Amino acid sequence: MVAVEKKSKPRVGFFGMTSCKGCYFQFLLLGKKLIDIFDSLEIEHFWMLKEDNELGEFDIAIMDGAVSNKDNAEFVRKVREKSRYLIAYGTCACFGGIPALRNDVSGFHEKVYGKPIKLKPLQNVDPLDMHVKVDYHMVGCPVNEQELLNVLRDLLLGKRPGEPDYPVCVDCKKAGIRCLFKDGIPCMGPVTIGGCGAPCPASRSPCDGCRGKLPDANWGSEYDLMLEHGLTKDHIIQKFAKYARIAKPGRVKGK
Amino acid sequence: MGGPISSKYYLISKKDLQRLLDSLSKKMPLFAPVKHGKDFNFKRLESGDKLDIAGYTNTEYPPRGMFLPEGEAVLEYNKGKFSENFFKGKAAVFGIRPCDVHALLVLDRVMLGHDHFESHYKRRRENTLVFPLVCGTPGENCFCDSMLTRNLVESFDLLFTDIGHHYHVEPGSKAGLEIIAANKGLFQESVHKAAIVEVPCKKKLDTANLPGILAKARASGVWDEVAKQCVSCASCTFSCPTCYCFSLVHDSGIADPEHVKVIRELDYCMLLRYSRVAGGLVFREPRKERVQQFFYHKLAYGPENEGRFHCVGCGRCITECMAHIDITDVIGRIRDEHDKRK
Amino acid sequence: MSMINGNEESYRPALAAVTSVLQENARIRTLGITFRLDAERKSFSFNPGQFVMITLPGIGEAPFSMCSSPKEKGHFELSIRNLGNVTDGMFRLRKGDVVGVRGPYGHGYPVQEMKGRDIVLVAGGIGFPPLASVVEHVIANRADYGKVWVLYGVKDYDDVIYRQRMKRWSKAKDLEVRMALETPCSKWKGCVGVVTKLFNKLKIDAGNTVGLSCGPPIMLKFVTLGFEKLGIRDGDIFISLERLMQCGIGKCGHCNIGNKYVCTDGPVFRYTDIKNMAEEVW
Repeated sequence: MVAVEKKSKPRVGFFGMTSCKGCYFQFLLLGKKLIDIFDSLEIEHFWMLKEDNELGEFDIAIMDGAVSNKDNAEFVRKVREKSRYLIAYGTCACFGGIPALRNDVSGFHEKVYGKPIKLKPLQNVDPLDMHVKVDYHMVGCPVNEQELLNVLRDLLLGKRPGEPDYPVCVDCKKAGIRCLFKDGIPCMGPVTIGGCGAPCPASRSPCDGCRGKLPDANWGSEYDLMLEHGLTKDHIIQKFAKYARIAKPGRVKGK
Repeated sequence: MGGPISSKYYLISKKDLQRLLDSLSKKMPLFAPVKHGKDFNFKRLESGDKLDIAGYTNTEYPPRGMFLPEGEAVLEYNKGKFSENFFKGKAAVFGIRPCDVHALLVLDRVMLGHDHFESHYKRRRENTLVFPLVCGTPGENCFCDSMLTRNLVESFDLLFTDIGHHYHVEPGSKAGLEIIAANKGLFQESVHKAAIVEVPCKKKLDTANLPGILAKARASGVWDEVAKQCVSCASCTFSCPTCYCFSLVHDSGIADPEHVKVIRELDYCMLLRYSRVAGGLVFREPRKERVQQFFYHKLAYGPENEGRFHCVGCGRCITECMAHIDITDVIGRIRDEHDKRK
Repeated sequence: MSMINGNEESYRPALAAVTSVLQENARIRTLGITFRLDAERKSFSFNPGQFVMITLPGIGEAPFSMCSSPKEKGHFELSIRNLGNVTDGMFRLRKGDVVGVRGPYGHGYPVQEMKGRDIVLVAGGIGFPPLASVVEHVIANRADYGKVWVLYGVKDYDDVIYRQRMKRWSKAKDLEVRMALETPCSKWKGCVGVVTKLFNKLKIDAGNTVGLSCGPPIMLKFVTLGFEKLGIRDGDIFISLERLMQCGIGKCGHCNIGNKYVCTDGPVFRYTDIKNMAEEVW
């Protein structure tokens, strides 16, 4: 698989579905590094940066946000058809994220709006995966913009970028951060996908799991550790449900 | 590095040690334990930085970083040419504990033995002065007594022992003697060998016949119990002074993707990615096998390949494990099971 | 056997150019590679079963076993299936493109010890390349070896490689090539089934025969059992193993199986040396 032609600049499009647009902004926070990006890539579609946005053909489509209504679903399919490589950008796009919390509450729209509304909401807020094939899951709430740079560079080299598959603990150790568990603070690091550089633990704030659940996670042991450090069962369930979308943790038989 | 090289001993006052470190730090990068919050870690001491090791047992992370630094660019590729980049000059590390020096001896056997040597480790090891500091009271999780790593007879340049107002100094190499000669005013001669009260370690690990016992214990239920607790965070492998496994990763910037640095990054056998090949197959997938790999490498494969245990009893893996897995306890349970079967 | 880069530089590859590209099938290519510098061309030599690390700058490195005859100085062939980033990159290489080469590394098949004996080689799928190198070596030194059987098992007809080679080998004296296809196909009139089915018609002098194999782990297990059933001694069975390799010199730890490293103790192992850790092997 080669995402991009070497001679011409790859055509890149940024799109956003249902989200806070924080990941969208994260790209802009790259600051001076944006010059490198603009030199190597042609940004053809970006609602926040450009007035003229045409839905042409793209080499790389970067889609932020979850699919929460029929318009989202149609748009996502259209973009997928026109793109060679699709990045699900941010935890909303990869897992449903914060908007997906409404999946756990029935009659959500009536509760909030009091009557049916025009948006044609789907039964559930979905990650992009449930509607189109995704080539790369860039997790994070928000994303780590350095990861975006690395993925774009890999695509320029004709490489298939690998998604991080190790816990946040590895990021903490690399950055020389003292483990929060040692100070009695329960942290979601061991069960969360790493690659963020652990900015929250660096500020002595426990990882909240915003990068989604790590397939190798030992949920049972994490649950026990959180109980041991003073969290109630309800609080732990809330934490596990927020980004990881784990419905019933409990004591899981360790692998 | 060397063997017992002199029958003379020396004394240096704590004030004069500061002067010695100041003088050394002007000539080369000098690393010493520096306190940050609740932990000590090896950091560079610039000239004028005061050495403050009140309450120092051992560093949170091992001194591996001075010999196998994380993220070292070992190779570079630019405009069609490869060039291998090496550490230049000299360095020194003060305050490294005897168990950690034994860890360096283990790494020496791995990196410099077996037909090939790892050229970057070799360069750093040959050019770094080692000034260990003997332990009086061990830390809570130490078990160096069991692993026979409490004492050092070789492989240091100057061995320091805190005897109150002074440090006792034992030279261990030509380079050590040269430093004493170059700083004559700071050292006084002494005829006595260092004598301090050695408080025994609280934890114990019985190593008798351990590789043989482990060879028969692969199917033990103890490993299943450990795997249930383990969250595969890799803290143990990260904090172990004899863990050395690494990956070679190609890195380049988006502005010039073809100017490549090949980075040597630490990798951890606790993680799935460690044994994943192209195509996605993971050779060591079950958590139990990855847990076994750590223990077996330190206590069975290590002695089989390098002739000594890789575990030096520093206790860091016990301190760092948030899931309360304790190597002395695990091996104790394996041994109990083995003894019951006899 | 001599190495291209000495101990003083553990990781620097030598530069070599692609001199030939042969498309074996849709997913497998054989590349011919020649060192650029005269000195390196003269000094590089290998034993069948050894491997090199190929560097594609920016993308990475991967190990490949040589599949050509060791007698060709400074030149060797590798067969590649496009499975990951490095092999994808190698699939895009054309004649004249330059790659980095480190090695040769590891222990190959014991071609000296095998002299005067009969040989059964069993290859499974993409495990064929190192065994192909053994066959080329045997043919170049035909008088030194006894009878040879090359047994090749492959899943689908379209996966077959070395078609031209196998035709050429069949012309050699006392050398038989037999193939087994797992998936029946109208184009194939020969044996259908797993490669061990080819053992049924094999008549060998077990005491004077060595068994060599290379392929997927599960195949290695059954082939080894098959060799034992034929009466070949465990000390005469040699297996080429695969693991993730990065440094190639036994330092990075990734390729370990028990207390052995595939890159330095292997990739070719005598069965007696790994019998006690069989569960970790396959």
